[in-house]
Amino acid sequence: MTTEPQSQLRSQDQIDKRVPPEIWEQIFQHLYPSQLSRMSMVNSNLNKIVSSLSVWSRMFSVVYGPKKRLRTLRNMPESKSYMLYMCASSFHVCEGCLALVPFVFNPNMPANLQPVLADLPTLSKGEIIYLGEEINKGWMVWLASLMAP
Amino acid sequence: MTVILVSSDNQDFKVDKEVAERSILIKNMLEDVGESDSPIPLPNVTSAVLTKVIEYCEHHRNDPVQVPEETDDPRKRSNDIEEWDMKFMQVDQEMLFEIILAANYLDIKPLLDVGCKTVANIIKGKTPEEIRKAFNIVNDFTPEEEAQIKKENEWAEDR
Repeated sequence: MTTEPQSQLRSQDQIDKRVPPEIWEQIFQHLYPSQLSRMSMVNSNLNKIVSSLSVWSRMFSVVYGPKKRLRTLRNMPESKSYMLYMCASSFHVCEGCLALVPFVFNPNMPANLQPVLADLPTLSKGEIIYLGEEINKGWMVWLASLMAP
Repeated sequence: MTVILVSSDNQDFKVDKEVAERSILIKNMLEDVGESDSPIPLPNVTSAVLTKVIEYCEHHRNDPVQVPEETDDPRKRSNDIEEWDMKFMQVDQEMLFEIILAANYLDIKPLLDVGCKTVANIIKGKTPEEIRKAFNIVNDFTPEEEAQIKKENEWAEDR
């Protein structure tokens, strides 16, 4: 019986499919959130892998402390809610050290592209503080066009 | 003591047991079989890839076992690759991913680790389009999906 070697069969697939998700997850441990976000825009398979990373909720715990939870979005994997929340709060968080930092305007950015802070609603229930209550995409921080060019 | 490893294209590789045992898969197989000189088939690894993997294991034959470091930070550094490893990883992309897949299959954690760091370093600083080009990946989003995903990731563009 002759069979093709496995690696030749595999090589017909794109690299994102040939490399199993658990290896992508290991590769992604070395990337900052903003680079992960760019990775999620490459294609649908990588988008799925990035938005299901457990690292998002662990980053959330490091930034906001172990007693804070996120009210997760409906119709979405839990990890994706954490991803979107980390994206939304990215202007508060230092990517290098995962600490909360004061919100600053970037003088190098044109005025019509300055970020605008949206409220991040919170709710307490006993010991636990939920962030992002009544979540919708409204709490995203947008680069708003404040002035017409 | 030496063992014989057989690649998927039926080539024999005679290596020191100590070198072969850098692979936890092979180490466990040898422990299960006990004293035996029968060749070990590795149907998932071609001879080209196995040659590279053995080169790595030879160089690192005396390394102590890695203990995973406990840290609070969920992220890991990728700028701490040894010089020899960095040169070793200067191969074409096809080979780079073949080495990673082989390291995963053979359970050679330090090699898998160095491979993952190398890929991460290729990704760093690249836009989605540049990543697609670098890895030959086709954009399969519908225009609607792409608009939605762009919106979700808008924050990252100027960082």
